[in-house]
Amino acid sequence: MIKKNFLVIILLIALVLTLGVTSVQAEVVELEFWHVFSAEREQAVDEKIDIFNQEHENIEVSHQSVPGWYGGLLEQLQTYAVVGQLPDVTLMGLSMTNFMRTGFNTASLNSYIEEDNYDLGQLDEKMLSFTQHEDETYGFPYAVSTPLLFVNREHFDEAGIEFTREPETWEQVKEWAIELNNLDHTSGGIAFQMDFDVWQFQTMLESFGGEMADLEAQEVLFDEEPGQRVLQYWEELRFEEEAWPLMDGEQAAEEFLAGDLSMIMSTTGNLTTFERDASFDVDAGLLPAEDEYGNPRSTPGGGSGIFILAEEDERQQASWEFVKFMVSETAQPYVVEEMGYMTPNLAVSDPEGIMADFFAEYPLVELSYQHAEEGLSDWFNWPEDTTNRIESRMNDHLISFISGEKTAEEALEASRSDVEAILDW
Amino acid sequence: MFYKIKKKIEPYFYLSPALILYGFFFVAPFIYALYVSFNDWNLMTGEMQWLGLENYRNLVNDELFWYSIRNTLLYVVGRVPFSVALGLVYAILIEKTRGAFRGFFRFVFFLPIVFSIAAASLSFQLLFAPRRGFINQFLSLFGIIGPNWLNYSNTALIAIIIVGIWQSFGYNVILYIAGLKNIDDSYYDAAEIDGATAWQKFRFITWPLLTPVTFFVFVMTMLFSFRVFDVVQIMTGGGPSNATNVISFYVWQEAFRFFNTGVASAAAALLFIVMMLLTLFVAKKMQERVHYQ
Repeated sequence: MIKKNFLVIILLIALVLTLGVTSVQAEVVELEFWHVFSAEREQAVDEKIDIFNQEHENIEVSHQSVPGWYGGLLEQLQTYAVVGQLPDVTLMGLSMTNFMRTGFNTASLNSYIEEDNYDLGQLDEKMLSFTQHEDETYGFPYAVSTPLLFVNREHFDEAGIEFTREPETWEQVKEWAIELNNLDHTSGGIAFQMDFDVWQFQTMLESFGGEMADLEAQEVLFDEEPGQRVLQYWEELRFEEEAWPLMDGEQAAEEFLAGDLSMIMSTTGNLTTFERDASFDVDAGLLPAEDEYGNPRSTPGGGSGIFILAEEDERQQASWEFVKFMVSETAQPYVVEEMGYMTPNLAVSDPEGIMADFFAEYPLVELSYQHAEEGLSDWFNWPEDTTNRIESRMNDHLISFISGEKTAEEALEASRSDVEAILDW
Repeated sequence: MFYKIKKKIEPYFYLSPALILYGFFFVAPFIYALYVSFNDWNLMTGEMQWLGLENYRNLVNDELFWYSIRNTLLYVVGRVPFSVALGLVYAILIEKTRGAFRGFFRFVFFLPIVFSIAAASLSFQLLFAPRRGFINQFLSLFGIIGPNWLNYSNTALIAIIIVGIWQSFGYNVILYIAGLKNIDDSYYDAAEIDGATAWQKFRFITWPLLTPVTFFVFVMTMLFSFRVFDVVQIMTGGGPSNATNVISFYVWQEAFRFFNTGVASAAAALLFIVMMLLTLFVAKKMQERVHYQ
């Protein structure tokens, strides 16, 4: 009898313990986070998520790297939205922030910010504005970039050109490209990475005093006089001076790293990669201060923001904790160090702050922040879900122009016509 | 009576696992895609709105659709004859080879079949690189300055066709080798006695008796060519300036890049109908010339 009672007690204890463990496990909120980083960058994301998971007993975040960069990520989000299997948190390119809000109904962070007394002042105001609409904050900027002019200092020395990190005009850059192209062992003086998106076109257009479009008036503006001057500038480099060889963005980066191409306009995201991987003396400069008419340079903020897609309160609350962490002083240093991007976190971007050693080792990194300090412009967001289609069509026409199949006029006219057709303007 | 019914039903019973899978994974999705092609389907909300023939109208008015059809036809015309012809030539050469090399060549030519197409496409990207790529470096030995293959509209499709030929001709070699092995040696012995030349033996024995294999190889390569997508996606992304935007890529782009599932489904339905009609036409035409032993 005693033996029987003893067994019953043991069973009861086991049951209570099992239920207890189950109830503790049930409290753990499992979140899924999607991003675009692979290889070493993914490893860096993984390490930071490990830290978060260790610090938060009740939240377990897993992550998935989606191939195809922001375009690929958007495609996957769209596909998973059909079956209602969206991740709780995702990154997305800053040219898609409007669509994240209107298409995916990303959660507003306002209530969480208020509840937590979260200090938005710890983030760069302009970068933060990329993920805000009217008075609502729909996400946080995560890794931000601007275009920079990367140069091979050895080519400059060889050509007898004195390089300055703050070129005065676009004409000056063109002259450099032409002179550098005369070095007989190089493949070209300069290259622009045109095939990824229209970011570099927008940069040049705004630097030449133009605008992409007036959404309220439903009017395309990129084909007006400043846009024509951008293509004229490229025409001179590509065809008249033959200083810009025909190659895609990836090839251009490879040629530059191999020491064959003298200059490349590329994202700040390549800063640390170029500095680490090049076997020559890499330098970088700001974009020219102004064009021939005195229009100041424009630097549209590229990169990504982090957004919450979770709908249930409990998951949203856990996602908010994760989002806060991802832009915190703990997580953001790797965005600068491992990824080469600019951080929105002011404590991390302070050259004399927690990353002082890194800034001392890579002084070029400060250049991108110089662009940011002068004022970033918004990466143009086309209405609703049209960004991919519009950028794709515009890119097709611009690349046709660069490969000599269309004149500047034809490329701009075809782009305008496509945009108007897509938007029904 | 029962026996008769049983006899009639029995084959379908044995076929049912395959038929169910086929119905589930092909027929049902196809019918659904056909239905979607008459609707505007908002993937985000799941809402579907009946549009009738609107998607088909948009499709035929889209220049890019016709351009992708043109590219697809050029691709098929460029890839199919070469992979069929090369498959045949190499099969004959391998069969004529004696000793250990025979197995070696069979293995080498079969490699493209087992090779991951993603890895192969990336390797070809490097081969086609403008300055350091093997192809242009090889051309430079003869004083030829090779183009930037994947970035010029007029060479990008050629590069994709070359990869396609590489991808399929090994498979064709194996099929042709099987075909060659089926030809009875007595035909060649008789021709030998009659004093036939090597060309005559090929022209009047090998070629006619290989027509069933050629028919199969031709149709399969053609169907594979119409469906080309992976190589395009990895090597050129349909560019430059849509020069390699083939119909499968167009469908994918409309559906998953531009979220225009209605138009994408309409294009897929048209592609299916065109492929079916073309296959029937080719099959009918070729059957007239097929000789069986």
